[in-house]
Amino acid sequence: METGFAELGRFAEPGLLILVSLAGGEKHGYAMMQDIEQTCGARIGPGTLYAVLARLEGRGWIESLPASERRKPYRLTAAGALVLREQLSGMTQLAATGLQRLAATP
Amino acid sequence: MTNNQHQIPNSDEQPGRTIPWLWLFPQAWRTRYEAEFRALLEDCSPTARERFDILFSALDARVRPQAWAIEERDRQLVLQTSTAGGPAIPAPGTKLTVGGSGGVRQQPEEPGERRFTRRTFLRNAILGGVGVLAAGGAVAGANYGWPNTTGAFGKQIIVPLELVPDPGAAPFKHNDGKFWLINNEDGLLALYWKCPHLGCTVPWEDAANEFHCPCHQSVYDRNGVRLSGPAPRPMDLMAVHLDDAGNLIVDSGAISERDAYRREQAFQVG
Repeated sequence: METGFAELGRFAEPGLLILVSLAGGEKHGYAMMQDIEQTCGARIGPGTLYAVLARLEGRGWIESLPASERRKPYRLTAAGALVLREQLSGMTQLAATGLQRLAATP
Repeated sequence: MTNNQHQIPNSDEQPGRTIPWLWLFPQAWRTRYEAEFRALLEDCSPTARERFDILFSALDARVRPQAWAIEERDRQLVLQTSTAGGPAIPAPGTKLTVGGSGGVRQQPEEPGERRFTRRTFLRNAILGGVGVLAAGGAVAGANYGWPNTTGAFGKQIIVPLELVPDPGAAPFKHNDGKFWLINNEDGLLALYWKCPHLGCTVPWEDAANEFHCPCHQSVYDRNGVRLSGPAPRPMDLMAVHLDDAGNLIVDSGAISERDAYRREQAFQVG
């Protein structure tokens, strides 16, 4: 299935991290940054974060919720969950293949 | 002393308050994201590198609006949430709900409209180009204007006030800046140590209270004015000033020739 995820270009990797982060529940921007830093050890700068959020939102993969104070939470949409699942299972396949080949060559 | 300059706040100390490059984002982006983006910056205190990341995102949002523009079906949601959230900048963004992707092409262009026409492409390309140039210029300018404490020749050099000689005393030799700093009755002079005759380094002769060039015996008084010898003019001057923080700055990149000594050439420390 072609999801158009690759069209994100250099924003594909942070995009994936953000989708994974939102898969764990709705979060606002700073919470995503912290979550991603803790779970993946990667820090996404605020500029990149919002460039990616705007793209993901534009594709309908995430949606914003009414703001609490000024911090606006986002959540994964059904379409976003589908894309993420597709992307992750592709990575699982890749990982499995790679590990198999590594195991085969001494 | 110019103490009035001290009121200017040091914006680097409060990363959350001053938002770098925010004005560079397109209006439609700001309408939608500015309030929450500000909130995020207050929380996360971006590093210098991340500030540049913000700059690039701003240029990206301008140059490739089609990459993030929100589809028609989402615009209703945008309107609802942005009125509920109350963006800091009230919006000409009500326009976000009109002018769908299939809209009438001949419609006059509205400020908040996202359709990607040749005109908007040109405008974005130009603005993006100007932005890149401005950013480059800002970096170069900051580099140039920043007083270089290591004091390489050609840069602005901070001279600690305790190194400034007393009036009438022997001059202070600044090796990196290639100048003599001398304190005379009219004030300070930063004399470029290169002899205007053929370029030898001119040493100070303490016993004579003069500068004596060893190459061709040009002799200069405490103001750098030629007393004898083949030199065609007095020793050259470097610009001296106090910066906003009260540091004494000798600009070893600002060297000027002169034909005689005048009182205005001397700098009064205060």
